[in-house]
Amino acid sequence: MMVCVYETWQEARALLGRLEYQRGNVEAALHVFDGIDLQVAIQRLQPSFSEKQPSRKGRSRGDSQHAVSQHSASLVLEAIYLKAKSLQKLGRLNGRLIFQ
Amino acid sequence: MTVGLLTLYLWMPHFLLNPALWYLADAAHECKRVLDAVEKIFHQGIPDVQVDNRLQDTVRQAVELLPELWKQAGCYHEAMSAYRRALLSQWNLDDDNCSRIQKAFAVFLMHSGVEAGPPSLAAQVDGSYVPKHNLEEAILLLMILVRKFYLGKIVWDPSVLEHLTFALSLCGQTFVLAKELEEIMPGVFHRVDRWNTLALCYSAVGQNKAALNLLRKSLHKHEQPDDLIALLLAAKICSEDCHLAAEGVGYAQRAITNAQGRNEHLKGVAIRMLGLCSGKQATTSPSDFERSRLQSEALKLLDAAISLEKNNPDLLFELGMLYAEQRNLNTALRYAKRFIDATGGSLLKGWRLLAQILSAQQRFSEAEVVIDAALDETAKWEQGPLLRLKAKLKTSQSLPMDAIETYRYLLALVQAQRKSFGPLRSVSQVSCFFFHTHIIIL
Repeated sequence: MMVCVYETWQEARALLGRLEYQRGNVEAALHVFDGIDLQVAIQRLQPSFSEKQPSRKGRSRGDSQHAVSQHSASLVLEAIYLKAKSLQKLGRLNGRLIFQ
Repeated sequence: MTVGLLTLYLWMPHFLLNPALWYLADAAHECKRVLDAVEKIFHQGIPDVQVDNRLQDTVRQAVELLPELWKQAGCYHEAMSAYRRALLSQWNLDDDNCSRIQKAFAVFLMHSGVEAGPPSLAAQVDGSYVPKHNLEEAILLLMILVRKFYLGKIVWDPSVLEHLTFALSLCGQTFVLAKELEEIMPGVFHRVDRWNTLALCYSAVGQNKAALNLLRKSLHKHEQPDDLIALLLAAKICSEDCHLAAEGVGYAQRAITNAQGRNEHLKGVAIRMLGLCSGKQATTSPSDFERSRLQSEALKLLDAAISLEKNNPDLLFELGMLYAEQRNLNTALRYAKRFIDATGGSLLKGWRLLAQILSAQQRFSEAEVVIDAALDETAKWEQGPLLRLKAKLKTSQSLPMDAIETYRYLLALVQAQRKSFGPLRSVSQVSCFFFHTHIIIL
C-alpha cells in the first residue's frame, strides 16, 4: 500500500514538472523534478520488464499490472529527461548573461 | 603531480567562473542517468513490442541529447563515448533519429580536434572493420548516410554531401568523391554543379581530359557559360597542353570579362591564365613572328597579373619560366630568386629552375652550388631529379669521372626506391641507366 502511494506521488511530481516545463517555468520544473527518485523506480520496474512470458494463469491481472508499471516508468524517465532539458536551458540562459 | 596540478589550474577557473558549464554538466549527468536506467531495465536492448510509445520517444530523445550536452559542457571525450554508446547499443532508434546522430558524430569527429581512438574492444563485433582515425570514421559514417538516402530510408540532406566532399578532399581522395558524385540520382543535385565538382575531382587526380570534357558541357551556352570557377579551371587545364592552349585563351578571356563585382578578386588569376595560355600557344605557333608576338603578349599579361597579386609564388615561378624560355636570362634569374625567397626554399622546382638558368648562362660552378644547397634541403627520396641535373652539369664541365660518381649515387637511389615501391620504371630511372653506360663507353 505504501509503495503504491509513493508511486502515485512520484507520478504526480513527474506530471506537475512536465506542466511547469511546458509553461516555460524552468526553475519551478527543476524544483519539482528534484524530488523524484529514479533508483526506487528502477527497482520497482525491473521485474515487470524482465519476466519474459507471464504465466497463463492470471494473465489479465499480470498484463494490467505490466501496463501500469510501464506507464509509470515512462513518466519517471521522461521527468529525468526533462530535468536534463531544463538544466540545459538554464545553462544557456546563464551563458548568455555571462557573455553579454 | 605537477602536470595534474597544472591541468587543474588551467581548467578550474574556466569551469568555476562559468556557471553555464555547471548546469550543462549537470544536465549531461541527468541525461546519462536516464540511459543508465533504461539499460538496467532492459538487459537485452529495448524490444520492439510491449514498450509504449511514450517511453520509446523519451529514450530516443535522451540518446540524441546526451552527446549534445557533453559538447556544450566542453567535455569532448565524454561526448565521444556518448556518440559511440548511442550508435552501438540497442536503443531501437528510428532511421531519422539514427542518421541525425550519425551526421552529428561525423561532424564532431572532423572538427572537434579530439583524437577518438578505436571503440573499446567490448563494443566491436568480431571481424568488423575498425577505422584507423577520426577522418576515416567520419567518411564511413557519411557514406552510410548517403547509402541510406539511396535506399529511401531518409530524406536528402545536402549538408551530408558537403561534409563528405570536405572530408574526402582533405585526404586527397577526390577520385572516390567523383565516384560518389556519379552515383547520385538525377534531380537531387543541379547537373551543372555536379559537372563542375566532378571536373575539380578529376583534375585533382590528373585526369584532365575527363575534367575538360565535363567543363565543356557545363560551359555550354545553354547551361552556365559565365561560371567563373569553371572558366578558370578550364583555362588552367588548357594552359598545360599546347594543343588546347587556343581554346584556353577563349575561356580565360571570358573569365576576365566575368571577374567583376563580387568576383573582382579573381581578376588577377584570370589574367594569369590568359598569359599562360598565350605562352603555351607560342610554343606551337608555325611562324617566328607569331611566336614572338604571343610570347611578348604572355609576358605583358603575367606582368599585369603580378601587379594585382604581388606575392603569388606560382606567378613568380611562371614568370621565371617564361623569361627563361625567351632567353631573357637575367630577368628570369631575378624571378627564380624571388620564388625561392617566397617559398623559403621548400619547393624543389624553384631550385631546379635557378640551377637551369645559371647553367644556361654557362655559370656551371654556381649552378652546382645551388644544386648542393637544394640537396641539403630535400629529403633523400626526392633527390633523383637534382642528382640528374648535377651529373649533367659535371658532364658539361668535362668532369666525366665526377659525373659517373653522381650517376652511381642516383642508381643506388633508384634501386632502393624500386625495392620499396615495386618495379616502377620512371623516366629518371631509364635515363640514369642510359647516361651511365654512355659515359662509361666514352
